[in-house]
Amino acid sequence: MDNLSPDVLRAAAQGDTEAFEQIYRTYSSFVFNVAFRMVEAREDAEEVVQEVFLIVHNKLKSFMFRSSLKTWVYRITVNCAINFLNKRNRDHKGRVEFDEDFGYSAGPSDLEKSLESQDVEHKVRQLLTLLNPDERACVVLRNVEGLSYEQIAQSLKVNINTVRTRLKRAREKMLKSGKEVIADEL
Amino acid sequence: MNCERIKDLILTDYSDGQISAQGRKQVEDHTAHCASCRSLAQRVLKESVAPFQQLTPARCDDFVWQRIKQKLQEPQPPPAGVGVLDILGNFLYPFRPLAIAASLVFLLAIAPMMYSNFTPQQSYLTYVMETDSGSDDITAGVEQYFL
Repeated sequence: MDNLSPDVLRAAAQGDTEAFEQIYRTYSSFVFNVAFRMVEAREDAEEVVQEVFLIVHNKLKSFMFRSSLKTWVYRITVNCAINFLNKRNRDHKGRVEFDEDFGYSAGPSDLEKSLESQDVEHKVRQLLTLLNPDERACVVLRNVEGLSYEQIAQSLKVNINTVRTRLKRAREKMLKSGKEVIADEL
Repeated sequence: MNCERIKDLILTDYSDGQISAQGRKQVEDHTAHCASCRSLAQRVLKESVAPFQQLTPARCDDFVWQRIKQKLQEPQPPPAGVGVLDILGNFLYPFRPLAIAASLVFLLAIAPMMYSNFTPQQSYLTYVMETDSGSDDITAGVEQYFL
């Protein structure tokens, strides 16, 4: 049960905050990571994390363990992030703001490494902005979290071939963008 | 396998390591002699897979947990859907078959009354239709007037 004992889950479902904190400590890294890659800005990702864990807390009692808890939490995370993106797109009419705080800290001695990381972060953000929320969710779960196609299909409650189709379209868009960049540079 | 099928695999299962050993061999046999598919395989890995593998995992600040904890400790509003009507509905639920039977009896009781109210109107309409055989004549009369 994802390293969490049934006793912890039972206690958390009955409102034990300390038990729920254990669930938070176990899953908050990947929830934040997925949310951050999906919604791009750190503050927005934190808002998504908060929403995800409040939903987990409220629904834990009714969770029937038909899937693993981790898959269930992934599903809630992706749904919250997609809802957040849709809402933001409605509010800002599709405007995407880049957040320069990339979610990690580095000491001055790591300057070169830090610049390299920022390049990677920037590139990844550029790639992700090419994708619609569904494609983005598949790419993040596959390439950032390393989930198998089967796990992605379970997390998103879609057919495994839908996962393939979304990944294929996402990569075609990324490659097309790469070609355009090369053409612009030439 | 033709290039189209190989390209589909390169864009998905092959680049993600989700392909069977046999499938992998088929793709590699094909790319060994097809420059276009070989180039695609290299580009997919370099441009759409590798950048994600170099990412540093993002970290969530601890104050997020403090905020969640604070929310959890706030007094919770009563769960949605537990209003007076729901309580009444739950109370009446065991009597539902009785309510259905009572409704049927009521409908059967008022049906003859509705029928008896309806009959005179129907008779009147039938009477008008039978006696007012000259309705077409009005139009004819108007036409004749203007002619």
